[in-house]
Amino acid sequence: MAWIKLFDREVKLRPFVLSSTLRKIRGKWRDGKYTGRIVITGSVEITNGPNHAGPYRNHFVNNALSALMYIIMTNATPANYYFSNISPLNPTTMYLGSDTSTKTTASMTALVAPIGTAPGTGPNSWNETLQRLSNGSAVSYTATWNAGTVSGTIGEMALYGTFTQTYYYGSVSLSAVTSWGGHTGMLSRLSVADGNFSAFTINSTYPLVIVWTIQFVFA
Amino acid sequence: MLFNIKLVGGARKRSKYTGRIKAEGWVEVINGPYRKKFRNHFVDSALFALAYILGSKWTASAASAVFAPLNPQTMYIGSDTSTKTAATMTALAAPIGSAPGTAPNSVSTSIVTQTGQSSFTLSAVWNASTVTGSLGEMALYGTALTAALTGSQGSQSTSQVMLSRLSAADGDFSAFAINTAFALQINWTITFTFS
Repeated sequence: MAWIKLFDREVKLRPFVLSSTLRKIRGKWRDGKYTGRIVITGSVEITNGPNHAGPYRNHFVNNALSALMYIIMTNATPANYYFSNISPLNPTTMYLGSDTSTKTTASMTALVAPIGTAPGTGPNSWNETLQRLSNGSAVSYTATWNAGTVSGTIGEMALYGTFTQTYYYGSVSLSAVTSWGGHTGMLSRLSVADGNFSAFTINSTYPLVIVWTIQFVFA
Repeated sequence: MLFNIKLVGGARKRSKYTGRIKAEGWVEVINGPYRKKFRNHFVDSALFALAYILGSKWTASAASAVFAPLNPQTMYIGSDTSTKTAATMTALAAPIGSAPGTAPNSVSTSIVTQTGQSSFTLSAVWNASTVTGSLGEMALYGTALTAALTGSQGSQSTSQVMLSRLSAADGDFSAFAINTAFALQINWTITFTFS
């Protein structure tokens, strides 16, 4: 027989309950490397001249989550055409913003106070790399704003891209398969308001480089 | 007492929005009076396909193809009770029927999306007496990208691969003899949630 304290209340555990609980905890530890669950996380690293910060963990929004599900539901058999021109879920750019007070919500679709004309000033260059990890895979997107192209205080940033808001099943028509719905918008956000990072003023004598990495790992 | 505390704590944790996305699979097995639900093990093919989708750009315009970058399409069952699932596993250890196994008599799909959670369910039914023996493992099969697509590479293989597995060896469930007087139905649900 054992006693434990839970929320200021002592609870008596019978031996089989205790051993079962310990077994579950031990099982979680043992399975730490591979549980069969997949966790998708995003991290952001920022470099502005001599200053380097991160990685910071991002907040995915509904556009990304729902697109994953629609992709899994899709099994289309168009007679003569592929889906074209629009990827079902593919980050394609980043934007910066100055807001420091608005927390990210799952339903958010844009930066609160973008730097430049909405949705923001896009980077001068863009690069993507795909890599294998010991327990999964990762895709990294690197955006570079040349020195002097953006200025001000950064309080938020966002990963934008194409995403689908529908799925296709069975035999579908050409008009359907050429667009995947054709949506472009915010997939994920990093913000000072969420406590993700501290606001900073861009040093415009140096380029601003942001590396946004999305990891798929068993956890 | 402990069970109630666990439920309250779980509910609080789930309601918090952290911006991470978690993919989980739940398997409901129904065979006459037998009806239970368990959590699956995704394998590498499913995980890598997710990354390949985000690393792909589709720009092709004309060709003939079946197009499903990651789509569960069928299930197979097996009798093995000693082989634990590994991330690199690609097939059931001891399928019932000729490999990859005896396909179900019917499959159907459904999807539910709501703020913060989306669920896809593939339901497979083996009619009464079409499969027999002891059930110790089962697998979700479907198409999955095996590389990132760029430029005009708009097509993909139509072959099916194992995406996820449920096994007695992992402690997911207890092996049982299929009751052939009833249909065997398996509902495999994949959920994406913020966690």
